[in-house]
Amino acid sequence: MDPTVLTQNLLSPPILFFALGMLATWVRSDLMIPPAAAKALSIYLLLAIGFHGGAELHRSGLDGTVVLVLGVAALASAILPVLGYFVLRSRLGPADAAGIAACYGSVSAVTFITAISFLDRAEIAYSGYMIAAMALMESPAIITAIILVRIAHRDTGTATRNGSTWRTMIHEAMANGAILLLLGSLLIGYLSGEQGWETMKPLVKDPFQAILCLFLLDMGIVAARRIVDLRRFGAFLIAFSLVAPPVQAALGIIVAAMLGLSPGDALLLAVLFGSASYIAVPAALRLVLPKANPSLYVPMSLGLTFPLNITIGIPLYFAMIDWWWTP
Amino acid sequence: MTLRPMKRVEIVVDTLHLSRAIDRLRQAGCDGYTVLPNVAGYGDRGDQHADEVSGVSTNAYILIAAPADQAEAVLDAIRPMLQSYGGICLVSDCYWLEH
Repeated sequence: MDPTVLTQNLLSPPILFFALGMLATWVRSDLMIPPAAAKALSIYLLLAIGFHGGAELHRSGLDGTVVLVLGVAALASAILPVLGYFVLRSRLGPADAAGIAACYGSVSAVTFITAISFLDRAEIAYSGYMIAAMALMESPAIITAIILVRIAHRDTGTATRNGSTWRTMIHEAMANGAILLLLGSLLIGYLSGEQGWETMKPLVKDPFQAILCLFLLDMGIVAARRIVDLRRFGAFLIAFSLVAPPVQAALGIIVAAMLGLSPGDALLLAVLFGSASYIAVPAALRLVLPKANPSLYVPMSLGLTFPLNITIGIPLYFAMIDWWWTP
Repeated sequence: MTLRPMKRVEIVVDTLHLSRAIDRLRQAGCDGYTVLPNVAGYGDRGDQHADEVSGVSTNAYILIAAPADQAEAVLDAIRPMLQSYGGICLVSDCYWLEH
């Protein structure tokens, strides 16, 4: 890997603000972003990225390749948790294994946004439909996790009826606020076309990097707290948090090569495969899979996998793609 | 000054389940409650830092003062939720200052 790619990423404002947030927690500073402000920042980022993706989709149009990539992305989100689940079942019960597997099968919108920021800085093109792919990869992992737990309980004869119907579960998996906002903004960006883009550009494009920095400052504060929570974890879960992302990202790169994607799109697909959800999926899991312990899956995805991906992961995956794609 | 004997019910659930808990309380005939949102704590689910945008690590605290029969209905309504999703519920005697 070209060390300058890694250095440039580590010295970019979003990553440095993330590091500042972590430092603030470690030195017990009183620096904090009020929760309501952090929520507003996350709403902005999802709206901006969704709208931008919709506008790009409007320009490029929908064709067979787009539909194929979207289908593969959704399918991957349904299959990836199965791989993670069977690895995790060697040490954990069905609910905890499924909860973690669901997070790692789904995606991290902020990691994806950070990867877009990386591509923008490097002036590497990517397709707007990758944002739709991200939105489609949020939910299938949750449904797979529920199926895995139900199969496990049936096999052990401990099946229970806790009142959660399939309809309720699918509703919780799909109607999550983050997913709804992302898909809705994507649709609005697509429908409003070039005129809509010109109207919204001052809001969704120009301040994007600066607001990402603010949000990552907050994420750094929160992630550092979760690293403290990790002290009681065994080596197995810590290893899973650090090994699963590059392995899954490598799978994403192989799939991207098979689909003939551009380097920019390949990086985004690798990040989608290799990232773990810590916002949308944990919120849905608390409703549809309450027996899964959030004190396992949130610190793993937020405290280890997220920092790993945005600091070393993105440049590493890009180096792999650069090596593979260069004739 | 008149003090009327009541039951004080304190419930802690995670924020994601707050609206369901409130629905159950109302269906059980609870005619008044106070909610403290964004509550931090520590328990079976580890640290609840109350600092994430998802609300996963944030609790909510519900305070109810009710006559004994209404409090019993509230407890019957909230128990299945606590069994499924976790949380705590405490009941104690108190006095309500009539005004």
